[in-house]
Amino acid sequence: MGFEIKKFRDQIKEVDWEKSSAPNTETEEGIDDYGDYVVIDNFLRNPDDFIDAALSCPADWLDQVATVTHREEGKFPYGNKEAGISQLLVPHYMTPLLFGVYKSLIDCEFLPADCNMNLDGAGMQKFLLRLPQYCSTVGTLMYPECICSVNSNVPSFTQWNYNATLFLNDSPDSEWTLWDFVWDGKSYSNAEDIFEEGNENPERVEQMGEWLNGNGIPKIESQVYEKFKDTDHFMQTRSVDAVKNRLVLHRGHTFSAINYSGNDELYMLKIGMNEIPKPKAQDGNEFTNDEVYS
Amino acid sequence: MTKFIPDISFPPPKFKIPPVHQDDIPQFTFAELLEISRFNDIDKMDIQVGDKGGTRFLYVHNILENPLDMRKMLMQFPAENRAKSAKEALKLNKGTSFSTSKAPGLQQPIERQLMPAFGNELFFLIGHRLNFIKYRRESINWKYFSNCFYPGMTAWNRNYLPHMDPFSYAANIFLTDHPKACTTFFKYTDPVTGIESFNLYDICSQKSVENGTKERYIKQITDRYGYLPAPEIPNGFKSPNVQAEPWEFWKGDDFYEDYLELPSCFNTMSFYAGKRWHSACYDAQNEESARYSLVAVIE
Repeated sequence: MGFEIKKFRDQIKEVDWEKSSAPNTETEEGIDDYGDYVVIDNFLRNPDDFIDAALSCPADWLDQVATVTHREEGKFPYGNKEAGISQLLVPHYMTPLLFGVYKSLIDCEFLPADCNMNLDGAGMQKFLLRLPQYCSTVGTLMYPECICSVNSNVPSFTQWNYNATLFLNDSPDSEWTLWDFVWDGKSYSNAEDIFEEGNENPERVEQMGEWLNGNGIPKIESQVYEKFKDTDHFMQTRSVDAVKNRLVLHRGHTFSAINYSGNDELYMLKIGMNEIPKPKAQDGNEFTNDEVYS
Repeated sequence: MTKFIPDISFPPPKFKIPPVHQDDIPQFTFAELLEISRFNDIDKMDIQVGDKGGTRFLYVHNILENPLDMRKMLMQFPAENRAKSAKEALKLNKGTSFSTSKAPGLQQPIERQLMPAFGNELFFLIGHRLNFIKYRRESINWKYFSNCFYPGMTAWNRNYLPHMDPFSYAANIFLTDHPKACTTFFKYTDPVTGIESFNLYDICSQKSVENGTKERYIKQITDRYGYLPAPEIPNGFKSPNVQAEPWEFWKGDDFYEDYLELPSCFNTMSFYAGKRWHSACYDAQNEESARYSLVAVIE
């Protein structure tokens, strides 16, 4: 009786990430710039190849854990559980995609074009090696009745300078959404608005912070995911439909949320990108003094 | 450890070494630099925000509170005389002088260590008050230089023709009054497709390559202006190699159509994206004085 010895070589799935993650963005054409956010349709050249590649990567076990702990205790005691299954994908695999996002940030003037030095020749070669280190790429699948921490669906900032969401399937009634935080009749579109208020009315900002700490931060209790709706303190200002191969770009300091319909599945790639430090030779604006403002 | 002092028993100097006096060095205090850099209150400015053919621009009059003080300070920086340098460099260094800019006239590099207050004022106006740019403050590095166009200056390789800047946005603050001079923006309309192009990105787009616009554009600029075909590089052409010529007061023709002019009026700032074709229009044959401006660019 013989044993069948499986070779590692036969079990490792090799993926042509270079091809599957190649973007379409050769020119500024196709970029719809709405100021606070940007929509780019047909972002990837081979979206189906990318989906196959992403699906070949594993996810962690947290969604299974959350399903059990919610059923048994109504809680998820291990930190913030975002809705759905998350795959931590390796940014280095999808450098072409990240480069496309970076170039789009320049084209739509989120980043100055000085970084054009990173878009060509030897400068680009060096830059491509560094770029993934400043990025996060997470595949996220939301499905009906998925479990999340209470308040995890509340619009919030991110920890990244820039964010991008690439929708990987059509999901009618699912949207990327942008919100204003409303406090005492006044709207705040982003973190800077709030910081600015803090210069004039620190007490007011303290009150806002207290409210957000209690109502805008994920709790230990869990729930079946629900779409976030307008409240007294959050007013939806913009939305973008979830359409396959559509990229939505925005700065991380805005109040944004994915509003999933709850029907069928919504599969997307969430990208976070921090500003890539410039060469030292370009430094020189260290001095700041608000007194000199007009 | 034994103390070491190099042997300085050199022969005495043949000539008296002239002393340096600290007052010979131009000096400015912190408060003086703040005053020099101060912008007028926004209520005192005349601000025009526009968009012509997708070229967004700001045109702000009465921007500096002390424009002549700014001018006086800037004029103490040196500049390389590029008209002479360019000719010398042809013999000495294959045509490359120290200043690599293709800008006409004289250009003084301005040390940014002296300009942060000005940079703050500028960002506060265009980014914060006017919300004209959406870059994060931390993303911006200002680089400063001056432009001085003067009577009788020469052109080098036809640098009066439209160009694109290697940086994203430029602020040009005019410190002399030359309302006939201007920064002019151009577009090219393809005669076959009727499609308008505003820069080389448009010309090199996949669509322009496929519909023949790029090929027609390159043929025209080589025939008309002496650009050199260069299929080996992505643009497909190189700058004319005619070296020094009299500067032309060039404001477009039936190929490059002028659609936006921002005049060079005293204490006025034009602010625009450098990636659109534009050029400096200055009548070097007839103007009686130099046009002088401070340029701040976002790198």
